[in-house]
Amino acid sequence: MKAFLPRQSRVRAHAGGVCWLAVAVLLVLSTGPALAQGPSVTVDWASASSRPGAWSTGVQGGWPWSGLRAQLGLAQRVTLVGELDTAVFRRFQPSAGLGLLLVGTPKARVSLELGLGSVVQGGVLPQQGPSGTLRLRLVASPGPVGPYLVAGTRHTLLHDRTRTYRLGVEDPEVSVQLSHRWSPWLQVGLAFAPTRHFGFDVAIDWHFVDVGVVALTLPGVHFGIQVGNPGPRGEVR
Amino acid sequence: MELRVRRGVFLLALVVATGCWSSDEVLFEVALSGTIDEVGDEADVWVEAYYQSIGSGELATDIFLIDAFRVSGGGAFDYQLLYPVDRGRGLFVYAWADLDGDGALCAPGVTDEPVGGVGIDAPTEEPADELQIPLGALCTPPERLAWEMLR
Repeated sequence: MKAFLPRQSRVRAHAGGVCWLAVAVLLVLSTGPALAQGPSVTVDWASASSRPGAWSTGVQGGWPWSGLRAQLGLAQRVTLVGELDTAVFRRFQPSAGLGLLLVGTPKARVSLELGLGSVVQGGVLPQQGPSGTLRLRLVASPGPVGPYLVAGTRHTLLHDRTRTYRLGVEDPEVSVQLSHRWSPWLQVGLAFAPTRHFGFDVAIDWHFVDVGVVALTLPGVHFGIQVGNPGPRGEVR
Repeated sequence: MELRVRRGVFLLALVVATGCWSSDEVLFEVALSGTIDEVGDEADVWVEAYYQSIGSGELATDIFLIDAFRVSGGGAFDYQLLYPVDRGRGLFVYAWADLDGDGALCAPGVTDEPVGGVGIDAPTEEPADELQIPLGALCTPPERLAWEMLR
């Protein structure tokens, strides 16, 4: 059987793989035992849960999604979350809501996040309307690197107006149409915590934008940085 | 009545909450009338209204279908077109005779279906009532005919 890749390409592919492996090893080594010493802003950020008074903020860049998020712990299991997501700066999704910690142990957290906001999309397919989000977050922090998974759903209500000017009639006929858009997504990533007050993450994003309207969805990737104050050391909850 | 009021309040709340409508389309009724070459009582002539151009930058394209209607046998026609003013520019009226009744312009093996068109640079509220559409070409698709006639 013939090799699919020419020899030179295979060498390049191997070199690329080794390079990524070296980066991953460096990232793991750089994180040290930080996660074992107590809560970190990165785990707080990934799980949308902070202790009362603790806060974290993060910025992420990637393709096609980038964004900002800030959160503040309100109560033992309730966190205020505000964020702005954007897809290639054509679609903006500002929202605010609450993160509710369902399970909190030193090594894992499960939380639900509820948000209200809007979708504002420009370009050739403009749309704008209020939206609501629901996310389930699972974060594990068994060591210096913690994997996380986010499953979310966003529902957007669009209200479109059409004004029809008939010949010989001065006032237009006005009709209003309501429509619904559903945009679920899945995120799988790794959270790194070099210190308790600083961390970063890499993740793969699957945003299925406007299911049934947009036929094609491409996976994306992002890199994020988080800073903040996770509160005192000790048990997470 | 109460349901209407509730729906009205709900819609108002939505609009206030989000600042404006998701889309606000304006349609102008344009009166199209005139004559097309007659092709015989048994054949239909399809009349298709296109923008002359739509989009901008890399996504700009020459023609884009707005609406279509049928005129039996050709001859005189009269149609009220709802023209969305914000989406594209100009108007190109294209007509083709479906001589074999298959609903397709010049399907494989068919080379004799006549076509024609006329351009209106800026549709207005004034009726376009003297359109003359000779079917002087064979099987030329609308984008090609528009390119030949409008440039």
